[in-house]
Amino acid sequence: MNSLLKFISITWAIALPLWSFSSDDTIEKYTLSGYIKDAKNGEDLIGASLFIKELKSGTNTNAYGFYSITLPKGTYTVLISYLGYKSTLQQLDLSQNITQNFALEDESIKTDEVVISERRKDENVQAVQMSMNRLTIEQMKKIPVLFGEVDVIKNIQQLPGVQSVGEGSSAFFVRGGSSDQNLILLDEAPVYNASHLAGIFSVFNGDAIKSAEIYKGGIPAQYGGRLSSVVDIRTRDGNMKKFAGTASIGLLSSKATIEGPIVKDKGSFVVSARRTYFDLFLKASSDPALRGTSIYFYDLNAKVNYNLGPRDRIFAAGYFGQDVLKTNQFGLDWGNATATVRWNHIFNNKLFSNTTAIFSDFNYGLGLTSGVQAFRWEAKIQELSLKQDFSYFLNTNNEIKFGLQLTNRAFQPGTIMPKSEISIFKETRMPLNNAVEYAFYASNDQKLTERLTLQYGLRFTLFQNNGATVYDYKNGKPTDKDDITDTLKFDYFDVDKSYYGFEPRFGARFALDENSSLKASYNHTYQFMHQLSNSASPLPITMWVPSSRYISPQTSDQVALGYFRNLLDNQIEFSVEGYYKWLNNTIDFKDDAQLLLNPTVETEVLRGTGYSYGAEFSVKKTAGKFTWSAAYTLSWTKLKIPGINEDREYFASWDRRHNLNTNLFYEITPRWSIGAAWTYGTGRPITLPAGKYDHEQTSVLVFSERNGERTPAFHRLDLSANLKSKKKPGRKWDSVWNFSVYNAYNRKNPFSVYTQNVGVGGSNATQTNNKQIVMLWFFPIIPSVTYTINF
Amino acid sequence: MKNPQIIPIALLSIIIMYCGKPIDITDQYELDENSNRIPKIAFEGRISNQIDSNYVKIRRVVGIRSSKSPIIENASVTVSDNRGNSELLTYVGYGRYQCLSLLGINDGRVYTMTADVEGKTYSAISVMPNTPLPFDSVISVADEENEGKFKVLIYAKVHTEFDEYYLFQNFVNDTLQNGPGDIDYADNSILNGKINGFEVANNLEKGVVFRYKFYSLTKEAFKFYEGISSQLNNDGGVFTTPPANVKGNIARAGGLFQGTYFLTDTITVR
Repeated sequence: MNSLLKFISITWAIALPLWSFSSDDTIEKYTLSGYIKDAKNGEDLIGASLFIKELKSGTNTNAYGFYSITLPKGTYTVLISYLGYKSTLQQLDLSQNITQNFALEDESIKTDEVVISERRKDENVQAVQMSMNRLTIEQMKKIPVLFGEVDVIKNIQQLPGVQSVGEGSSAFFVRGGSSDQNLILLDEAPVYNASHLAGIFSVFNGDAIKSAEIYKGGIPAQYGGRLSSVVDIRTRDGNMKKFAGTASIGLLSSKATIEGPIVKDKGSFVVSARRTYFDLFLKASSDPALRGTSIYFYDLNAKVNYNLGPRDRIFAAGYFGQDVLKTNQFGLDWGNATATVRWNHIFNNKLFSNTTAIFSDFNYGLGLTSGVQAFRWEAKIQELSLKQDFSYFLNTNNEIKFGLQLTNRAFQPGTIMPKSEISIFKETRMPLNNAVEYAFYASNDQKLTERLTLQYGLRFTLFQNNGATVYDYKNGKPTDKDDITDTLKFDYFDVDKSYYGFEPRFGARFALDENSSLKASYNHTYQFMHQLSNSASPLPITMWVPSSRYISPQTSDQVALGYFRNLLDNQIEFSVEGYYKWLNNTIDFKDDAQLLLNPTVETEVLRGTGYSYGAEFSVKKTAGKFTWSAAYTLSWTKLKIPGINEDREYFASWDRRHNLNTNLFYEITPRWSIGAAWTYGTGRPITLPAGKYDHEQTSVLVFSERNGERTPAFHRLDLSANLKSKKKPGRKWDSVWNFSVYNAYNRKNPFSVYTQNVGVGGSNATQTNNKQIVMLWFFPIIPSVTYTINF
Repeated sequence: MKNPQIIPIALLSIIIMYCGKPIDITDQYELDENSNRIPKIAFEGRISNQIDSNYVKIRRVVGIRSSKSPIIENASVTVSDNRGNSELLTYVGYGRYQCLSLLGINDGRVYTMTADVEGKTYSAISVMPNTPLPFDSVISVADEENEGKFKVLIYAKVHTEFDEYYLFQNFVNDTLQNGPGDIDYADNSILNGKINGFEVANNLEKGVVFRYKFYSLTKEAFKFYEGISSQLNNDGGVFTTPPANVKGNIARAGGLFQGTYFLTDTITVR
């Protein structure tokens, strides 16, 4: 079935452009192009809408706030709108090519009436893109969060079709895919580990973020490399108009941002920094073990941008973050660093170019500091990439995108060094590895008729595994390291194994009427990078490996169908989407697989298939003083991996049958606002024993079914209230108090459910071989206060 | 001595345990102990270089709510080697079938256990592992962290030219100190061959008799203990792997029959 869909899509992608690019040369046409920005600070607005009322047609800004639309000569009423901003109407006389920039003002919620009459909010119905959510920082701030820390990943975990494993984890699972199947980009640089403090926070500082787009299906052809989702996070560019800043003090972390123009309206910078101070609280503990423990993280985001001229603009952005967890004897640290340099160039009103150089690094280290077991273990992955993207706004009915990307990845899977003269450990180095990936893509958004719009594209990827140390095994199968018959070493750029493939992408929107539409999509994707994690949520120290002669690329085919409808003049958005996803060469691991510091990790990998299907319902009101949303997902995810569960199908660890997320936000007065969020999910799969037997001094558990039981259900209510400072004439700063209560009714939600030995004897418990099933819960009711000052 | 790979998991678990409280929810689950997907009996068998440590125990697999595994008393158990030696083990009570004459010898011998239990036949094969290098010394010194008490250090060498696997047990006044949750095992893959003053016990009273037992294991037995340790350390949290059956070497049954070579040393703590 999925091969048939792939064939049909490739055929359409090649054939459609041959007969569908039509232009009527008798009609005089001109191009309107420019940027849409925030009037207050000059930030580009991504995905802002420009709509031509007379033609009932329009376009959106790209990731750099640029738009272009070609229209017949004439006079038009142009409506420019963006969520959270006041829409604006402008009359334009298009008798030549025009460059016209627009600036939108922040929306002050005065009356709903004013908002409705000017706003074009049918983007969710009219756009061909489905299975995509765009989050702005203003929307994210409305949802109450743990410790008052706005977090883009926690927001993503609330979306329909997205599952989390529960509290204390930043891992997320999209439409049945595992957590390593999500491509997380920060200003186009991939982030390999998005967790601080093992997932309690993500690495994304809310003050540095402008917006995030998550594609759960219908993934456009310019994205590739992961099967299940793309999270494209863009950071703010900095205030182009004046110097400004923000400082926040919370219970467990503080952060500060400073920004301003380099040259007013030509260039700007922004720097954001954040640090937690758990360690300071621990030092005050009466428990000596806790006093000697340090747990903290810090991160820094920085960005500059500058307009070199009317056609050229450059950006440079960087992120650096580190987590530290240590006791008197033990230390663990991990961190990410990313850097991008981008050049936007406008060739003409129709052709926009973006050239990006990308660097990404993820590394970790751990060890014991002294004594006979002193050691230090380090590992890292580094990526260098060059990317070229073009957007060609051919005419009103066709927007063509094409480009290429070249990526080199260097893997250092692990090195152990003894750290004292009496250490029992020897220096051990895992073999290095290198991989090169070439990708080419082309796509077109094409309006065929008033009702029917298509989005089709094709991506081609060539992947090469280089510079590896490769083992030959008996019978050619990597079953055990004792079966190694030969060792081959490849130089840095010598290719051991190549893979390539075409990835067709297809989307369609059929407008039923002005307020409703049907949409469909199909995508075929490859994944050549695999995270070595056999837990539900990856450890902070899990590494990535490339596809190789023994680890084939994973592939996926997904189809989706959706109905979208807006009600009450676009005040309320409703959608229902169904999907089915096939997973091939999906990876799992042998029981008790040793994935860390294992040079023959291919002997621990098992491959099989999986499938996932479900339905997502979403309804939301996004305008006015009172906004709310509800998202419900019903889904199944199953895997079948020979060697696991006696070759029978089993539920994936992230399978969750029902998931409901609701939230509401109300602006009581211009100063006071309140919010609430309630989330519910049925239990996630766990493996519990069916029996046990005694062996020597211990007791051994016996299991009949992988993931055959479920944790208790999860539900939680979070509340928040915001109090803004009074506006005083002449005052150059304002402030906000945020009061929040996480888990307001103190629900003991399962962090884990497991079997343990029963202890007897109170505080000096002695273990027995009697077993019990226990549930560990993590977060009780947690109030928090954050004070933020803006200047 | 712990495999470094479990250290980060253990530390994260420790940190998390300070924050959360476990709640007993055993009664919320009906677990099918009669499932035909699990074995009904389990073996614990050993052939070693010391005759009184050569035995086979047979027990039933029970539900997790049971306190003990019932023993099986009327089985017929034979151990033989590939040199033509064989012995029908003698039942000595408490589910234990004792070897009286067969000794484990490390000269390439392969040992086979065959058991007839309630009309069914079970068998397992094991080789003898390498002979470990003898200890250089085992000494007791003052324990700086526990005033007035002592700790025990060992000095030894381990092979590095081939893979080797170990299990460790501590005895104080002939009482095993390793508790139900304490499996102490390791391999030599990242060791440099010298064990210089490795602490194997602490907080010991003056005058107690401390015995240290150091087993050399087969790879199969190492994987078995690794599986048990993984079960014991598995807190079911999002960072731990799905619990799994421990792989033994007896088809249709749980447990392990293993050849093992061990060293032991005894000191009086002073």
